[in-house]
Amino acid sequence: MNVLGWVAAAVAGWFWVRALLPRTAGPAWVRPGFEAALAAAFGTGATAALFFFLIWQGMRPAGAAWTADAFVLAGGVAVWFLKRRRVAELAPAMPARPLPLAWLAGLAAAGSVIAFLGAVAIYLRANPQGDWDAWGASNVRARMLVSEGLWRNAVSAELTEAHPELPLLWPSAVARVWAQSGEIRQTAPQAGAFFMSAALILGFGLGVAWLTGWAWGALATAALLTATPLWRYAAGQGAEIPAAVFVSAAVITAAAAEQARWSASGLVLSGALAGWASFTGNDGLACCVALLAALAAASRLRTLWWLAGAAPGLMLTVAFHVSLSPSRALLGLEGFGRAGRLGEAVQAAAAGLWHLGDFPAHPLLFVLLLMAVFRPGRPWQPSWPAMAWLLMAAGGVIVLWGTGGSTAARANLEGVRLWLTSAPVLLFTVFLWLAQPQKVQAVAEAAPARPKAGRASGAKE
Amino acid sequence: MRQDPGKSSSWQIKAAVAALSVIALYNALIQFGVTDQFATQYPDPYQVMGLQARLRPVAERVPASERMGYFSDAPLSETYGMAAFLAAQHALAPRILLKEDAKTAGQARYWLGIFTKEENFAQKGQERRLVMEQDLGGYVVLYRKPEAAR
Repeated sequence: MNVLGWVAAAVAGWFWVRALLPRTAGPAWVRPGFEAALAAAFGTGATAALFFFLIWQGMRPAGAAWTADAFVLAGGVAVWFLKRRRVAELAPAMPARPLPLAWLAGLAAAGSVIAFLGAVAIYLRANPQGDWDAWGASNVRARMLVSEGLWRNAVSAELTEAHPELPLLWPSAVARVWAQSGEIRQTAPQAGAFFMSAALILGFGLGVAWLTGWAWGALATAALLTATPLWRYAAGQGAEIPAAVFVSAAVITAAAAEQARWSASGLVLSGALAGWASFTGNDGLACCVALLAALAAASRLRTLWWLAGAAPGLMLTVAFHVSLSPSRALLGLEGFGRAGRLGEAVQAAAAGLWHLGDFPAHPLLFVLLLMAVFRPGRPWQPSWPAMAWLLMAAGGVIVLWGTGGSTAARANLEGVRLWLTSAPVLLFTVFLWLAQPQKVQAVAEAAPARPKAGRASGAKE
Repeated sequence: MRQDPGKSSSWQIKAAVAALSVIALYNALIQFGVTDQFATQYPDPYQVMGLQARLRPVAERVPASERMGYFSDAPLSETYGMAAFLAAQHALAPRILLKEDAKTAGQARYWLGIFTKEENFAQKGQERRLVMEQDLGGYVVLYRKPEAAR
């Protein structure tokens, strides 16, 4: 049950995703995989948030866990049944720009994903306790949530070193699985970390593939996996990877909604995923606000649908910070009072960006090189994901400014986390630009199928 | 024929895609090797699971609703000292572990001592008006206040 609990959450989430995700004109074989990754993210977030809410309302952990699953599943089935014939349809999209040597990109992506998931499994097996933040904070609080009558220990001010002020979605997700299995075994957070790592990579890669074609999805996946912190954090069992899953899934879903003329159901799904991100951590909240601002600028009043989806997660986050968190201030106001701290935050963010990869395998270098050779035509469309990413980066620096670690090493760690959450958004944005269909003609001119004989003979063109 | 400055030639695009694919795949293999090597050489570097097994008798004896006191000769300002404290907190959760200087630590009936070397553990407890309850091995000791029920 320590593994099946995660599968159950994904199944419950699948009906919601199936009902709300717009049907755009991507490759049909990609969609089921993308839906599965989204379902894992949505189901995990929804059941965990509801589980925590029910515990807060006084329900016992086991009862709360099963009730949360039943509600999410029943709600999903009901929405799916009601919307099964009314999912937003989109006219067939223009073919994406062709990518030469697509087979090589596919090989790189397949090899990278296999190596990544293999590395996660090996690390999880050797380190069942996870990394420092998991056994020092996240899993400690999960053990408190699953203990009958003692869940408030997870937000006690006495829990000085386990960050009782941080939101509780990921500990709730782990505690829910423990509550269902009836025992606290390390298998639950291990399986959760593996599922979330797979959901991040497959959701991102298949999401790009769905919107731009499999070749671009493959190259994007290979590019994302050059982010070395991803390898380190994936098996760490902390909240960083789940936050990245929610944020990237929210952005990709919003892009799909845009292609379906800002589909209301797509925006609701995107908002819900962003809402779970806000209850996962402060950087998740910053990303949620950044995405809201970017979508408000792009989709205007349609953003209200997005807000409706985000409402449960956002309201839980606000209620947590107002009523439960031992630290009432979301950000340390004393941090903002020191101008020097802003410099430290910017420095930490810059260091984090530098350490996002091991040169020459660095996502930013990949982005620059691809933009230089493909030269997507201006204006780069869509622009709102770029705006969201810039706001996420700015928000991350502000969070660092207010809450940044007391030591340089800690600050640098936070800097790396900032980019870990937002790197998939940047890559997704750039790959949307690179695959712009209006450039098909230009590529055809740049890569004509000339007869080899003509070249060999040195014939003039 | 002159190259249009606004467009990259076919070979440039192919070279870029090939280079990025090869670098990405090579990097993935390197990362896999590094992870495998690290996991093999340093499994559970802070002995979190080991301490959890060692503290199982404490978890069975001390009620889950208790606040437990904690002291150590490993300073919490050092990484190894903080690691010992957090690993003990992890093993004993849902009980809250209180540092010796915490405001409410005086109310704790049970205390945990973690040491880095062999010492007179009973005396260390007496200095804090605590009775040694059980030496758990590995320089880990359970104490209680004299008035705490056995």
